[in-house]
Amino acid sequence: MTKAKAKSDLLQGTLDLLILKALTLGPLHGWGISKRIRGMSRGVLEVNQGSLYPALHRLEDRGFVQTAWGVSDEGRRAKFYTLTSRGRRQFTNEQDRWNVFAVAVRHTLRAS
Amino acid sequence: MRWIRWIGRRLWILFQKEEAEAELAEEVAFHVEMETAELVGRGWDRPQARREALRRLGGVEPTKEWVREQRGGRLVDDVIQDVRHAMRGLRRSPGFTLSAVMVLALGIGANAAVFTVVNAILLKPAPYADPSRVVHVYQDSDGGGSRVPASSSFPATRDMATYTDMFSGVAAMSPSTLTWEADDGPRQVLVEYVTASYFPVLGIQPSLGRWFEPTADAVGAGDFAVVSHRTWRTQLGADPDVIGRAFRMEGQLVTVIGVGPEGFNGAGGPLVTDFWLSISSVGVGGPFRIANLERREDHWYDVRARLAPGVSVAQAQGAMDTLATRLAAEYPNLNRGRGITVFGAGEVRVHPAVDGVLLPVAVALLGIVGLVLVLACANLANLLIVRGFFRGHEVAVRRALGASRSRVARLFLSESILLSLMGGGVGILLGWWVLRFVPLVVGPAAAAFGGAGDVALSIDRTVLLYTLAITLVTGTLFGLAPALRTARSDAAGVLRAEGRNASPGRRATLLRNTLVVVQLAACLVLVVGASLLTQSLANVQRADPVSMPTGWRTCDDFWPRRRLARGAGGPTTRADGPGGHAARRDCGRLRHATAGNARTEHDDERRRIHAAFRLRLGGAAACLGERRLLRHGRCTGHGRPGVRP
Repeated sequence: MTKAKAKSDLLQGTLDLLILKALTLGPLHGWGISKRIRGMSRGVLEVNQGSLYPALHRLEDRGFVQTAWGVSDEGRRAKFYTLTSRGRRQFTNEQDRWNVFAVAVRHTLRAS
Repeated sequence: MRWIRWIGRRLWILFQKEEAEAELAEEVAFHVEMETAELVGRGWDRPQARREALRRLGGVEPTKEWVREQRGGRLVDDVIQDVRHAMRGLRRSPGFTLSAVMVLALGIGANAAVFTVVNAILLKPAPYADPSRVVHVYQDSDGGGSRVPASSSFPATRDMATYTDMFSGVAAMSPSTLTWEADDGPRQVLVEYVTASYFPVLGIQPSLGRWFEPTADAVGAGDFAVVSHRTWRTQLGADPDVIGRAFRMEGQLVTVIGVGPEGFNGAGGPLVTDFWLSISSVGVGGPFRIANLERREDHWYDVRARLAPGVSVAQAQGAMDTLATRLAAEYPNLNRGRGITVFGAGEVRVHPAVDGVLLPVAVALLGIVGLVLVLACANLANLLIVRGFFRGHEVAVRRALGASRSRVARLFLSESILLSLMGGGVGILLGWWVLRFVPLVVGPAAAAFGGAGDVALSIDRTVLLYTLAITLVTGTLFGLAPALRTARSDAAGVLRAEGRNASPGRRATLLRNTLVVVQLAACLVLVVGASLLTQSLANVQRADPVSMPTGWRTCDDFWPRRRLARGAGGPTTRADGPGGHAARRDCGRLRHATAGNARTEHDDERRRIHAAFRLRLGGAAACLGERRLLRHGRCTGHGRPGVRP
């Protein structure tokens, strides 16, 4: 499976889950989140940058993340996203749902 | 809690829009720079790296727009856009807009005006301090048929005041009219003879000067008046030196000692009481009024009382039952079977007997103007639908370009709501303009029966809210059906049809014809309904006097004092005073009939016939009241009926 393939196949709603996952490791700015997701997926999942920011703002609007301006590792002013307690709960729920879904798909594919 | 945050966030975005935009711009710029820096680090040259970074992001502006779509505040933007578009649409067809706004203004204006009157009489809270503690107390009317709470004799009000464990204060008042010889000529004014406890019971203070001292109740204390704030402002030019001035009323000098509080027009609702006179004003009131303070036969007084702390209406009622029993034992001829009723605050608007008439009248009036508005809505809906046919092409193009049905429907709906808001705005102005004529109409009618005519009607917040509500309902009502209908139309079909033939198809014509038929039918129903309502309203006014509650009266010696002095006891038409109208003559004839048969107990008062009417509802009703009183024998000052029907 190529990178491009994985990117286009990113299921609707999966991006939110990945962002929430990335933020469980700590507050981060948008660019960092995209890099973190790529890193955590060992370079397979490339977040479409254009949909990253709308997703972040959507999550903020729903109260799953909150924002604060801080200083990045490079010493630049950047907007940091932090998981809220609601966001953490949402992540747990979404993770469970994803796992059920993934197992179901795997079973389906293995069926003969 | 979630919705609070949701609203808060939207408000924040709305008000911090620029800040949010700046933050968004900075965030995106940061991203692009970091991405560029990373690419440069991997060996790209800078301009190329930047281009690549932008490509990966999908461009700065599109990204921002995608973000904007995600967050709140979008709805507000859309609404603003809809309104702008609707305004453009309405500007394109000024003729349609103008006629629609005028139709709406008439409908909404009529509703606003009628509601203002209803609000002033029935809804507006009493401008007292802590009005929930102020109760109305009424002795029953005379027997002979059903007894109803009516009015009290002055000695009875004194008895009530002895229940200090129940009432912290008891005030008696008696509305009346008299001639005030103002600087610019004589004028009929509405006055209330009141006890000194009146303002304290209501918990109000004069805005200027002082209120009556308790000693003013004693006979011989002199004639003093407190002018109402409105009369002071409209008739006396808000003269601050009015305190201490002596006015001539009914030929007697009365000293003004104070100006009432702003917004308090007396007990007559929107009918403005011009002066409050001390209860013992012998000069103006005449000896009969004074004699009456000791007479248990004469029930001239309305009672307002303030409940003592911790006392309930039921407890006060219990005490008044005790009093009624006692009075029945002490004065069996006068008071046997005569109860005393305590009405809690809000249970009485004008008078228990009158309220029963006012409410149906108010409902009927509101119903009529409501139907007028419905008619306007039906007309406009039809206009909009016809307009929708002409805009079929526009809608089809919009639909073809990807606008959703709900989006198109919303567009049309915002147009109709915008129209109704414009109509409502003009309507309020129209209502305000119409209301200015109410005193001109009520005034002469009232003056014809010896009354004053100032009516305090104001378009207050309640009226504005009511008007806004009916405006929005109207806009939705007449806009929704056309909006849905237009939005539902089949885009491709319309475009194809237009390609072949510009005229609407057979089905469209059929629909339009059906609509016209339906509308005509609806109009017919509405017109019939409205005329029926008008007729029933007229019937209310023509109501058989006997069916009027027997308790409705406040006796008033209606022959002016100076006429008596001239010995003119015979009831002639009164052409000398202001407002000597035919209507007055009618009532005069009634009085004449009474005078011939009257048997009064006091020789010195024999020529004085005390017809009674309360000038609360204006002329016709007052005359009705008098006629009824004649039948029930209350027009003699006291004693037995003069005329039996």
